[in-house]
Amino acid sequence: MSQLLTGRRTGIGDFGFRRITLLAALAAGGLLVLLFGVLVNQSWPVWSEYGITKFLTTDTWAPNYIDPATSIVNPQIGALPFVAGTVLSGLIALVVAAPVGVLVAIYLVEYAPRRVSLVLTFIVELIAAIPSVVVGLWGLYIFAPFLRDTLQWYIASTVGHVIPFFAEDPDRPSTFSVFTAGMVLAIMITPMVIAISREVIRSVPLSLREGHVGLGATRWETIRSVVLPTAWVGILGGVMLAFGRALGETIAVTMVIGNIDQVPASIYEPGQTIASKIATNLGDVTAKLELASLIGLGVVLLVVTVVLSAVVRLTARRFATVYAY
Amino acid sequence: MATDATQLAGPSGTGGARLLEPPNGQERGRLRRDRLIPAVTVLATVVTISPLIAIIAFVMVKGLPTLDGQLIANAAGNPTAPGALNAIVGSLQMVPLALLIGGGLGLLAGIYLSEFAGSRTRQLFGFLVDVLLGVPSIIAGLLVYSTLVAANGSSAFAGSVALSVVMFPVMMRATEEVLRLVPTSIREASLALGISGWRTVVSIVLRAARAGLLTGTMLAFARGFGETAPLLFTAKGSDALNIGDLGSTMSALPLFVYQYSRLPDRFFVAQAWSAAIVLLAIVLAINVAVRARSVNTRVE
Repeated sequence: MSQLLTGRRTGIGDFGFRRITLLAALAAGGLLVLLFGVLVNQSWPVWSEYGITKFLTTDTWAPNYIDPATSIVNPQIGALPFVAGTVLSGLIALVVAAPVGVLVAIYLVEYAPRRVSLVLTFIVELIAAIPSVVVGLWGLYIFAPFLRDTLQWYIASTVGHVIPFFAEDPDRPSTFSVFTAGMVLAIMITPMVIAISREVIRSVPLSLREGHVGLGATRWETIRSVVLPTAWVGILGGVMLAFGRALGETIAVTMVIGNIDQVPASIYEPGQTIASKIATNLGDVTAKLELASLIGLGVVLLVVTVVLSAVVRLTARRFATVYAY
Repeated sequence: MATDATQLAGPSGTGGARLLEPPNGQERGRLRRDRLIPAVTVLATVVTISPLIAIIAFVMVKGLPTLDGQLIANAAGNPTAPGALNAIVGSLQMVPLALLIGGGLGLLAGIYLSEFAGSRTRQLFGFLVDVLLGVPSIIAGLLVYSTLVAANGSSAFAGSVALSVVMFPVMMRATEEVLRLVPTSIREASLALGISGWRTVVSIVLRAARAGLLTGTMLAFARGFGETAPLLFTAKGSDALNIGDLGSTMSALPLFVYQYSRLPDRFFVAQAWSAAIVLLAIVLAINVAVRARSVNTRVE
């Protein structure tokens, strides 16, 4: 469409302007190369001396550990607690946000009157716009205690009796945990699930719906057996992007997860995500290996999020317009 | 919306007479489900929106008592009446600078993609932007920490650069999308009049898209204004009022809220809530102003 200017060079002004904008565009690629280059380089001791398998499977974080018997420095740098915390809180967020988000999207497209739908879409966009530190502050003082006394208590006293992973000590219920972080993340990523699902559901052709309604199906039957199966791939892509968001979210999670370096034995135990570990510790590192290990954690996070976006982008059409902000 | 019984008479129906009969048990089940589902989706919508209301309400309740002249007039370093002026002023310096760097670069890159790039190049860069948009903001902080901060120490400038890394792909995507909405005929008309290519872009295309570009810029600004993670190890925060010294540490509103929320002192935690009001008000005001207008145009 606008490729009028693609091959056109008519003067020094055109040439120069084109070059300048090209350089700016190349900065996008440069930035990605720089991210990988710098972070991998700065964390090199982790990969060369410690090894990626050992890094990802060790469950102890003690970069400055000195063996008391031999007085030899024996650093333990294990990313496992943080990988576990990241994946677990992300999954909890996903389990809540995906169904809720899809239901809201169904309401917005299929049931709500046009004006109501527009206003609600606007409100949902506002939720996405709340700075994460404000969500974190509210989570820290208001939502976490509320959650502990309601949903957390309920799940622990029902499901928890059957599956120990959902159980808590009723005398010492924890306020800050992987569960709290997951629920806060759910609030933060639901708008993204809604935005993408809404676009995808809306793009299901009217003729398909009409065909099904014409056969005598109710509205819900049409949604269930025509709309959702058609929109399924797109919705899944949106859910994966939202999952990626949850994995990298930093400040709100740091404020509610409890900040303990451990692989949580139940979802109500405090933990630490990769991002929250970096946020809490990078400020006061002293040893070289500790810094390298923290940046190594960053590399793991970077690789996971980049792979997620790349997979979604390569398998589905582009969604980014709806979530760019 | 509700499907009535007559429509439901399926293949089992025997002509017109069947249509007048009341629905049988199976049909009643289908109808009940058809009425139940909308209620479930409404419930999900209420559940989704309630955190927004709860957050705004609690931030107001907790923060209003200490939202006073002292908070806005004094820096945190003030020995007798500490406030958050240093953070407000810090945000107002670092975010515009970041917008200048990241937003400006994003604008130029977006122009390239929309106006000059071939379709192959555009696809490739579109992919890169999608990937960049998915990179967590703490990684931007980590990058600047390992380069600028490692070389020269923490500074407001490093903070701005970290924010600009976050804003760059946002602005690039917004610009590309907005410029693509400008009709080709305008470009053709301009070129036919003998106006050079770059003047066409700058004076005609950008001008035609200025409302959309302003929207993109404001949203990029709001996005940068609310970011904490990129600033943690770059600008680091400072209790002193820092005006213009980009080489030293500087506070920002989100940073202030984060740091004060963890202090073991009721007064400082209350101040964190008050600063959160200011932060939330600014970010939501920009979003409401920009998005409310687009809601109206969508209705029309």
